[in-house]
Amino acid sequence: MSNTDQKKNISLPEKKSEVKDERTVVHQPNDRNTGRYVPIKAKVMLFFGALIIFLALLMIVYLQYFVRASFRDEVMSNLHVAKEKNVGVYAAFIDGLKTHALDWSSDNYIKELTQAIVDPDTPALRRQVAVENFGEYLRERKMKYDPEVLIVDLLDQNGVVVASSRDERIGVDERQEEIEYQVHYFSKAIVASFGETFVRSVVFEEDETTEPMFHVTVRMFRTELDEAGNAVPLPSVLLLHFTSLPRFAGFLSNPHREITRTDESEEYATIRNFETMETYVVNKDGIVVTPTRGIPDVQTKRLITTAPVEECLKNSKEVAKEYLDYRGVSVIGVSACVASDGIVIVNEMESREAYAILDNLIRTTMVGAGAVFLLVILLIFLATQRLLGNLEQVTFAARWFALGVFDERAPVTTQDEIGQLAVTFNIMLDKIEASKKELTANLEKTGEQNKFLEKTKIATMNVLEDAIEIKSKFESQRNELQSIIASVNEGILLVDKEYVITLANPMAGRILGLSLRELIGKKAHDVVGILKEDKLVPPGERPIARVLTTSEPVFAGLGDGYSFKLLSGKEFPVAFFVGPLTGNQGNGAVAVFRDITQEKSLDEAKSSFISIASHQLRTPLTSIRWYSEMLMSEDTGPLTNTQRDFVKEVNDGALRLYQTIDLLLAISRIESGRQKGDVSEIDLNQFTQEVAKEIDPQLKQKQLSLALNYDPSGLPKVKLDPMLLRQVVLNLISNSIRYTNNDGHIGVEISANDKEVRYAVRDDGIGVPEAEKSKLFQKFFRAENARIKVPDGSGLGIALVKDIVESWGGTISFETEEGKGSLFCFTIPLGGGNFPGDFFG
Amino acid sequence: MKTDQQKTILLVEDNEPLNRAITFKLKARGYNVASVLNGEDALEVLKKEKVDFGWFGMLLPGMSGLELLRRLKSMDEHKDIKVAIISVSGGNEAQKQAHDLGAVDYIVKSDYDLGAIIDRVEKHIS
Repeated sequence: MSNTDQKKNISLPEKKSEVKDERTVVHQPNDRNTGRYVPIKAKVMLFFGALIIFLALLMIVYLQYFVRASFRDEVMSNLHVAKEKNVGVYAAFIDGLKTHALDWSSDNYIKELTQAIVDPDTPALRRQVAVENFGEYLRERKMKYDPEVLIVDLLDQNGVVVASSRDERIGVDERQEEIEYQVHYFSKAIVASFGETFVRSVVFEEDETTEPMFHVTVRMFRTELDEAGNAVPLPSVLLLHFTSLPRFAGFLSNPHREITRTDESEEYATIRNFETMETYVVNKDGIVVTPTRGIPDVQTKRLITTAPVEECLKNSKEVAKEYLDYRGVSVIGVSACVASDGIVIVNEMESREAYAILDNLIRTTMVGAGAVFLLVILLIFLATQRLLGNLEQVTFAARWFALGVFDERAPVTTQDEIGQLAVTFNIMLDKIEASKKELTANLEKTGEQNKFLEKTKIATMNVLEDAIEIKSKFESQRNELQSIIASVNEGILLVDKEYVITLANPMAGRILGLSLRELIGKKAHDVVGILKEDKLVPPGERPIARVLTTSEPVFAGLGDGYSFKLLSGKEFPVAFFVGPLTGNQGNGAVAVFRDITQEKSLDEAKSSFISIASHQLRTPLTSIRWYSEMLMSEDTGPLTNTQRDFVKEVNDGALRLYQTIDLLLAISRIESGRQKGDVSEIDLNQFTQEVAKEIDPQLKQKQLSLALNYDPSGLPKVKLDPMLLRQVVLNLISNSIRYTNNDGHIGVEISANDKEVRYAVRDDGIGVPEAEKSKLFQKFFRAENARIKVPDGSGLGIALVKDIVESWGGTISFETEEGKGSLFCFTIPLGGGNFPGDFFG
Repeated sequence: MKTDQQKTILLVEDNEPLNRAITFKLKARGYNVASVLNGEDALEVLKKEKVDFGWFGMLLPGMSGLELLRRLKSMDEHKDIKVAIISVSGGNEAQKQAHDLGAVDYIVKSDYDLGAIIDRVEKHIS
């Protein structure tokens, strides 16, 4: 934006306010500060702060709902791998136990002893020795080297312990135990074929050990095969009590840590090591049988009813989800369910650790956002301090200026827009201050303090206008125009095409009884009613409406009978002129009007004077005429010839005086505009013929001929008062008769064009002397030759004709040559003759 | 000297010389003339005498000739009396009003000799 553009913008509000009223432009600085003051600095900081917080919140939402899911998926897959591996470990472990049991049942010495014990044919002593040897052999030769085997029992076909590594167990009914506690599969083993072994999940037996155990059952066979080479079963089952759980648990417990550390194979590459990851085994009773890190001190015997345990034991289903573990801590877990063995292998990990990175990320984000927020606020603060500090100074100076202190200046520290603003502002202040000083100096000179204070204000405003280099010329021209309009003694209104008053001068306000504020902006018909002959003019026929629709000016003078009716009800006669106005804002009209009450009353006085004069002059003249007439007609007795001549002179003189007075009064009436008459359509041919007939006696008296030299078919009809036209034509023809010698010729010529009718009376009379032509229309003037020819003419006839013709807007002219004749010609404008007559006169 | 054949003319003319001139001339023509100077007196005459014709001036003191005409025409017993307005001055408006109120003629004094006016009036009377 250029400098000038800026100035224009600055000046706009001033301009508007001045249109309302130039003299009352005194702004209070606070008038415009309607909203609450918020510095730009605060606005910028608020905006960026809010933006950062919004972005941080957006990121947190994203992390919580999208990244969280991917973290959970990763942990899940990790746990799945661990589960698969643990299931494998479990299977291998169980296989180891089975092999172990099978191996011992195949020991030939054990077989021999078993045969001896269970064979009913074995003598009692021999069986007693075998039982003792069985216990001793197992204790001393087998279990000593295999501490995981706690007890070994030999059961007969009824499940009763017949031999054992522990002598006190002999006689225990293990079948009953199986039925009551499902501790082993004796019933399956007693009918199994060679090579089959059965493992039963871990149980607790208060009578044996506090440790959980595996019970493996295997059927015993004879040492020798039968003829077909098949093993021959014995009615006996070997029951081994393993306490190998710690070893098993060692495999399970956090196994992947070791693997990932030692084995870099692809299989476990995807398994990640987590702190809280753990694996434990739950048996069919829902009791944890392997050590858990969650409860370090109590490794076993804890009843668990968590989701994976419930799902496996009741529905034989595996789970992979997030749930609360035995401590009530949220974990992500994947379970393996070995329903046949009544075993649940649970692999789980605390959610806290799974989402640790995410939570950390969110925390970091929040902290980071907070830090960025503070940083941005700080930067904006510093930046705005630098950029806008200057603006604040300008604002500060402007406030002082508004309060009337002109000394304050805005420091210029930058070269940007604000710097420019400060420079411009300072220049403006300089100019204002300079002009103020100048004015103050002038003030001191003249001492007219009050007036000058007012002028100082206006001058200050003007200087301000100079400073912003706008509108001064336009303003001064407008002011001149306004001054002219204001000083005109007529009311002036400008209205636009909607009849809204856009300008009014003080006189208009005075006439209409309203202030200018009340006038401007109102519609013209809302502020004044117009009466024509005491009847309200309907809106469509009001002068402004007529001007706006036809673009033709409308005049109304003293005799047109227009009045204004004000809102107050006051009525008074007016004369006006309404003319079309074309401007930038479209068409409008200008109305100029004045109150003619005084003129009207003067006119009425004049009118009544004419009326009274006419009456008072005529009445005595009538007396003179009538009495002289009665004397002449000898009503009162015969007269001598001399008496009759004298009385006739009296009568003739009275008659001439009478005619002169009539003419004078007629001229007076025409000139006052009163003689409007009744306008009607006149057929000029018919009219002329009537006049010719009327004047015929006078023509005959002087043996004159009257020729009507026109084409009757081409004549338009005219609208005039027939009486007036008659007076004009009669006067002209009478003059011709009067000033034409006997046997002369008189002619009437009528022609017409689009605009007017030309009516001429020609004669071959005495004419008018060259030197006296210019005085012909003067009242009472009579040409020299005319006076000689007709001594008693009034010198008013032709003046009256001129007045009448001009009253209808026509013109009169003549061509004449002394001794040859004259041509008097007048015009009748077509399309009415409503002219401003006396409006400006 | 009044006879049965004599027509009575009610003359209302405020100007005494003119009144006398008209009365003189009308009587010379053989009419019975009841001459008064204003409208009020004219109404008094109408109460007492049988009038055949009215000769009213226009600008009378008090009641104008037109007003007198209007009142006369509103009285049933007198409305058939013919009236002419004889004024010192003309005017289309006054002529029209006189005609509308039922005047048989409107004569401008200045346009005619007295004899000519009486000739014209006599045409209406007979």
